[in-house]
Amino acid sequence: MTALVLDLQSAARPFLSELGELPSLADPTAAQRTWRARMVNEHVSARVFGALLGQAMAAGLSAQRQTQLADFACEELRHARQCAAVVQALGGAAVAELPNLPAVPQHAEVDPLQALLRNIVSVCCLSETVAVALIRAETLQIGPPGLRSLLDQILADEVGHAQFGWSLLRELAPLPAALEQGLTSYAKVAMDHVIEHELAHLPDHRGFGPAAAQVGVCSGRAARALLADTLATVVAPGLLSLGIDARTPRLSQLCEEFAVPAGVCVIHTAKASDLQWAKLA
Amino acid sequence: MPLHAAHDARSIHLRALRAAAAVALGAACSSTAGQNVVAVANDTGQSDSTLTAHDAAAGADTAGAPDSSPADSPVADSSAADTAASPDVAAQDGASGDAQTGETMGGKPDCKALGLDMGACCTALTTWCEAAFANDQEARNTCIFGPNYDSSTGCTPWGPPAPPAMAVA
Repeated sequence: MTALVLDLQSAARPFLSELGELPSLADPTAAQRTWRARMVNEHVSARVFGALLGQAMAAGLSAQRQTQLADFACEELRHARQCAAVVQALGGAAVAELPNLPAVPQHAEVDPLQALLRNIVSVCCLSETVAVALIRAETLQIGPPGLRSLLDQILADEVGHAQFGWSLLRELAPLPAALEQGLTSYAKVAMDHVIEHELAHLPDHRGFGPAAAQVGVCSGRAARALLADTLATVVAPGLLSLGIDARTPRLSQLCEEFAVPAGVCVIHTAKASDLQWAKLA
Repeated sequence: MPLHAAHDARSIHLRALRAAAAVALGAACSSTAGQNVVAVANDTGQSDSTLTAHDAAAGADTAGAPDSSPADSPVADSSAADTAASPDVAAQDGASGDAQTGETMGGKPDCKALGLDMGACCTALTTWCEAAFANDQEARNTCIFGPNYDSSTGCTPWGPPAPPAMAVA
């Protein structure tokens, strides 16, 4: 089968002028590759929100929430064009082969609400919450104002995507015991999935120096540590406070690797009222 | 060198973590989780007001950009929310707070004061901010959680690829 090609050369142009000139790097290859990969990832993630929209309709979510999901899909497509503009500003071509696209699971074996919430936990509470932390870290290192502005827009959208999931779960809380159990089983699968996905996209290097960091090529090692900390000290406890236990041996292993204090990963209580947080210091 | 380029790695890590905590733990500003995250940030030796000042300055980097309207940048460009309600500035500085009631001169609860019931204070702050910014969600978020969700108000916002296809047994 012929690979599909994503060509955003023309679509990126309107964002190029807003971006302004970027500093020239001795070797822009890593930066071009980084932003091209983001272009692809953002583009294909639009289909995830598209799928969530269908599930939200089936589950009877409000029209406002359905509209938000449709907006999120459009935002991901815009992010792709914005990332494409950065590729071009760095002297590269905003063209890439699309990877194989796994279908977004419909979870037909459970009722429509649980099916939706499974994907919400994975997408909003895990992936997008991690994205908020990673992008926020990056914005603090970005140099050129135009690039900072672009990344700020993307961060703002990612915040909205993550908030969607957390606020929906809070609206529905307390969840019926059966739903809590079902989501706990799934959240463990989703936790391990996001860990493997992120580690695969965060190369274990210490960056390519300050010049590269100012155009968005940060230390992958630092990003991995932030991933571990976010999952262990924000996501897992946040879900636990809603009755969803997403902790797994893989998360503990990640904590160990990045020296997140063990207590954080071993929370024995399950309710917000008596949730114990280990000190991070 | 741009101001934000001066951050050390630990500071970047903690600020990013707080942003995630703000989103995920959002409404539960009484959560111990948020307090721990804030406490860690303070362990760096920076006060909340230092962080706020920095983030406001960083926000100013993009404040003039065509696409940095509050609607587009609720997280990064929250300076508009600070200036929209002038009493907030004093409240976030903590200069005029009443440690007993947690209330500032302008009526906005100051949840940074020691010894307060954080849950009650953050609930009051949320109520105050919702009234002050009824039609501006981004400004409201900044009012409750601080610029860039940095928790400088004393309240960690309430506590908050394609999903895996494998079925759950």
